[in-house]
Amino acid sequence: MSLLEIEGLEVRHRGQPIVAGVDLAVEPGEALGLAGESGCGKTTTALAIMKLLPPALEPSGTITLRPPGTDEPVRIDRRTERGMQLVRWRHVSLVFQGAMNALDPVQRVDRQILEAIRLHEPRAGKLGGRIKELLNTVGLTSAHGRAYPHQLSGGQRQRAMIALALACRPALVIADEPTTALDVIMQAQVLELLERLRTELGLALILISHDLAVLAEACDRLAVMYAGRIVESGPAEQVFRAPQHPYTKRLLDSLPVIGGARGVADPIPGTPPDPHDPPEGCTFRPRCPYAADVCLEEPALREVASGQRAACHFAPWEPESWAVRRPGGTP
Amino acid sequence: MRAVLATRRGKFSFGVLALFLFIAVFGALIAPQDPRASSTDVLEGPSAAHLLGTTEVGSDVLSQLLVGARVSIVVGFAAAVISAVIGAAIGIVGGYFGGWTDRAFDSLENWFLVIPQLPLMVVLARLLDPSLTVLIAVIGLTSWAGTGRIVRAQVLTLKERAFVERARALGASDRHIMRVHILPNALPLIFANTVLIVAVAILAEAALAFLGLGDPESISWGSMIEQGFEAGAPSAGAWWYVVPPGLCIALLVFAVGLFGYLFEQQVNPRLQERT
Amino acid sequence: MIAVRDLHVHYRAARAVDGVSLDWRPGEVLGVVGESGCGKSTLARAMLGLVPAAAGTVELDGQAVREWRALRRRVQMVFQDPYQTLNPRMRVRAIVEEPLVISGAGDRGPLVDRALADVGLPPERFADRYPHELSGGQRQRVAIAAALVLDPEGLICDEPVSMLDVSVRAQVLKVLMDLRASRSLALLFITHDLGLAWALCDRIAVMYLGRIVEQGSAQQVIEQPRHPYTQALVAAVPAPDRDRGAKLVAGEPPDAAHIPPGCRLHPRCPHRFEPCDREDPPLFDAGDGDHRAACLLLRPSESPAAHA
Repeated sequence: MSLLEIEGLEVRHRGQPIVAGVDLAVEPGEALGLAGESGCGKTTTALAIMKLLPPALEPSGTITLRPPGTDEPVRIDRRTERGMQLVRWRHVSLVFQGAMNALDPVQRVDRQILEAIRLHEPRAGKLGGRIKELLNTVGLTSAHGRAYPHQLSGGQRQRAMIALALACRPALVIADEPTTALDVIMQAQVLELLERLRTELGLALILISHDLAVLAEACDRLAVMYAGRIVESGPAEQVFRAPQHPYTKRLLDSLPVIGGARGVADPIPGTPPDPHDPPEGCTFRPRCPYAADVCLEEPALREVASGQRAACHFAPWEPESWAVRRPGGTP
Repeated sequence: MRAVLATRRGKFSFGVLALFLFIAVFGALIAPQDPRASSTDVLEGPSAAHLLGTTEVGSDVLSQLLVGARVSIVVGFAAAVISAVIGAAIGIVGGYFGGWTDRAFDSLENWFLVIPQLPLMVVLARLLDPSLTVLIAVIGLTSWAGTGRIVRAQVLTLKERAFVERARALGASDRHIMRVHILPNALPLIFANTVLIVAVAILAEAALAFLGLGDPESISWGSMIEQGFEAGAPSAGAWWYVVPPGLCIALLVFAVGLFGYLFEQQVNPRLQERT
Repeated sequence: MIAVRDLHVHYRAARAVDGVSLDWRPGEVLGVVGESGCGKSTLARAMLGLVPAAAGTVELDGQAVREWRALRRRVQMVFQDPYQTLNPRMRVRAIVEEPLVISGAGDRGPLVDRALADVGLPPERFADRYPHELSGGQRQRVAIAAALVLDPEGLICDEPVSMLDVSVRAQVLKVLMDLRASRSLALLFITHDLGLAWALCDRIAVMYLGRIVEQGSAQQVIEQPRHPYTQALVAAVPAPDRDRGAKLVAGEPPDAAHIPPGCRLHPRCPHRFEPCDREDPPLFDAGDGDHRAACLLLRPSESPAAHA
């Protein structure tokens, strides 16, 4: 059974959906990548899982969590705020976007971890050893723990946030843009850390990023979001090498590949749609170079290759058919 | 501005201000009688002929109230503007250049802040001829320091902003940067602060007039209260003489203060706005 | 066109730029690559005289620069954060016009219109807007237009797209490269993004802790990196088939006030050997053309086989 199962998640703002029809599943120990640009709804989805949406956003749909060691599955969508406080951090935790700045600047790092643990395990005894172990797990020393956040570098603060997220030994960690503000070497170090945590602790991970290359490297499976909907999903490497949705393809094209072609790719024209005024049919249609009349009908997310799903009428795409104006080679 | 007007408190304070501004402009026209005209109905209570009663020389209190509004408001606003101009200039120049200039201005500001405002005004008003212009100058000169401080703090952050660095990279002179980049971005704060100074200035004028240091020729709310006390109105029970001007001062100051406060609330977080 | 010779820039105890010599030729797209704290931004600012140099010179056309105004008319800068570099109270037209106002040029309207058109923001639609009405990519293009309006020969771009969304980056970069072609502009990209440097630059200089540790053509530096730091940078670029076991450098860079003795990378370097903590390597010839790297392993007297 999946560790986390999301079915038909929809989040509305003033009646308009900003996230619609999201179905996702995460298996224990699996890393799922959620890709997309700002405003596509990936952070909203993460907040919905933690039931941390602001009051102006109304979620609907089912979110089921099956943490190891519990008999009853947890229906997050049905939990009250009190009920969620038992779930958050204990079973699923979140490393916020811009996490480097989410630490309390006037408290030492180890005290903040201590606080997190105490909130969930008020009767836990002396925690010094456990905190030290947590810090070591993320590659920090006790000296780092005794420091204040501003005394640590960006990479160190990011690690501290990861340690904080692991404090109560959750089964699932959601990391929202964990490497975005980091330099490339630190980024590689953080990704290697997350990988190690997965193998050593059996941690499941939802990695949110706009950087498809990062997700392709770090995740088993990948879901691409656009305008609040999943437009493509499948095994990470497969989606990266053989995308089945025009948006994914254009995103990948805009990534320069070391050793590959040089020069700037053609940018995607236009801008993402306003959720309060969505286009008719496929949400990508106004910007899609392959759009045809049939695209006025919203395409369903369907399986187009083994394990890979895409929401495009013209999928599955052969590698050659991207180059011609009309898909499938027809003029 | 729109955000302030959207609230009830905003509408209320703005409405009161607008009303008083109207009276200030048209007071003389809508006054039922000549405020200085004397009559034989001395210290009479409110009646059909004199809605707010009469003074000790039989003048119509209501007419005096309406005409007196102009002085109070003009002095209040003009003094506040002077204070704003001086405070903003010193705050911007000191904050921008730092170093000795800033330290010198800072000492000056401290001096003005520490000296109690009312006694200083009294001394200055005594030394100089009491006319409206002098009054405005005195009040303006004694209240700029607060604005100067606030503006300086704002300028310190502004001059580190990226668009200022970019302007320097373009070769802009200090004058250009202060005029084009610093000043416009400090304006909302200056404005908000000035509105609050208006309240202070109106009270100051009233106080000076009450102490008999105002312009003896002009009628203002403060002078009405002063005259009233002089004529023994409180002991004679002639409440209509001193209460209405007092209430007007209180109401106007309250409205100005509320409006300024609401405006500042809107302005301050916005200064760090990022979309 | 512009050269720096043995430039040193200090911030109190920190040696942000610690002896850098670099040539930027006319019409060339040069990339200065490195992680945060390596001094690349400081170097760019020193080139325009925005920060004072403690030692060394900046040369324009072979002559040491004495008066910065002449330089700034020929080389302009585009900054990193489009959300902060535009005065929120000025309309687009005023922002783009400002350099002309400062330099006292007349007849500004047509120049402003042309600059806006060249960056893909038709003046009829954009000139009267305020920055907060524009997206990040549009704001950055306004900043570019303001840099173009004096018709410079070169543009220094400090992380021009790092704060923008991935799909918007292509728009801004395309504008820059198109301008390079249409106006024969030289471009200097300051970036930590190796992919960007690979895709756009003719030549690349890699900086670490205030020094250039490797330089050469983009092809040479990225496909055949000879300095361990460059090798680590290239090995760290995320990709699904990335070699996870690749020898990256350990830990984090020290701050510029505590530069290690000898080779500045030695505490972190996987190839470190005996003299590295004592001797500070100059840029050695890396074998193919104009390619150089500052690593003792490249010293002619060293035999590569002994340290594989």
